[in-house]
Amino acid sequence: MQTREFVLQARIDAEELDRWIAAGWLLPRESDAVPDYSDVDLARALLIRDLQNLGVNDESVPIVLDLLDQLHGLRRALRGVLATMKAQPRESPRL
Amino acid sequence: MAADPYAVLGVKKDASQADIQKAYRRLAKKLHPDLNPGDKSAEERFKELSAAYDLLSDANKRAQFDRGEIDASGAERPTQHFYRDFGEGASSYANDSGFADLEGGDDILSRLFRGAGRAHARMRGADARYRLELDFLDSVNGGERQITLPDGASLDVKIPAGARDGQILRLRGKGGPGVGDGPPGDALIEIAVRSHRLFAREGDDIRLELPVSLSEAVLGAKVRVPTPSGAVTMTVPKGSNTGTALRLRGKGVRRADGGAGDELVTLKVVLPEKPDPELERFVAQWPAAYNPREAMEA
Repeated sequence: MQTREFVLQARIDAEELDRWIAAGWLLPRESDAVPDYSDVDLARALLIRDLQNLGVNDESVPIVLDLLDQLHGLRRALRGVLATMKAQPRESPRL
Repeated sequence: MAADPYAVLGVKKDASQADIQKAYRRLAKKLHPDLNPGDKSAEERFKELSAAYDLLSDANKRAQFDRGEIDASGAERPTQHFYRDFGEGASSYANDSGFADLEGGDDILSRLFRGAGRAHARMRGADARYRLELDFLDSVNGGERQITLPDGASLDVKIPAGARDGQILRLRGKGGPGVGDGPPGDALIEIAVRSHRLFAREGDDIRLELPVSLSEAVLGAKVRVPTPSGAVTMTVPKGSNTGTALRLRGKGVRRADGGAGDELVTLKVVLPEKPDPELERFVAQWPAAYNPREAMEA
């Protein structure tokens, strides 16, 4: 989605958005040199806004985001491990 | 949404804006889906909390609500996708650096942790495990067996002489197919050995209990003895007894180094099943005063 729609949906103003992108909190893809926001970007923006409402200050936001990304990475890997374990036959088949 | 926003936040009607913010922060920390990615029930409660806070944190809206001009449903939020709904996907924010230290070469974890590149992953196929029951003699003598796998394919298995119960044979490349251009896994075949009517195994040796008649024991004899590789003739020495152990060298289990264990034959003197009048007469004439329990009485 384009910047206009994004700021409306994320309920933030355009300067705030510029600040977040400059700080590297949001990394929208670019198509034809224009940022193109995805649903992931929107969810992340809403999270940043919620964090600010929770009293997380600007210095702490990137720390929280980074830890959350690591947590999600671990959860994904763990899910992979569990799926692999589940796919193993419970008992060796008899021949 | 019908819940009273004051009740949702757990504050009184006359709470100050600061109290409302404090209450929101306290609850939101517990309920925010992105901070509690594993708790599915947190999402509904967080939405309720956010709606209540949207309404009460805005002094104008709060005043309107207090006067009854708007109801709580006015503050309902559109469906929100939380970040956690995407966090586990391969998004541009995916970050696997938190466990780089867990990776150890080409193990399964490091392959899984290579998150985003998974589509092009090169992964060794899974090992397939099977259990193969063998007769005692087949396990001792070895041989080839063709087995049919559950998927219909057949597999030639070379059973080494002296295969043990619980031993695992690894057939390289006969397991599940690899991912990408990864190599296939191995087939792991666990050997289970059925017990034998006569023989028992003890390491590389075979144990056998051999019944002999009274005359064979007293006078000595040549008798046929079964071994795993066929019957052989063995000399029972004169004056053998129940419990006498004889060793047939090299008639045990073959070893990988070319040697072999022994067969240990334990004799057991057996009298005829039916009483034999001639034997009774003969023994009655035996004058010897032999007492085998002498040692017990002392």
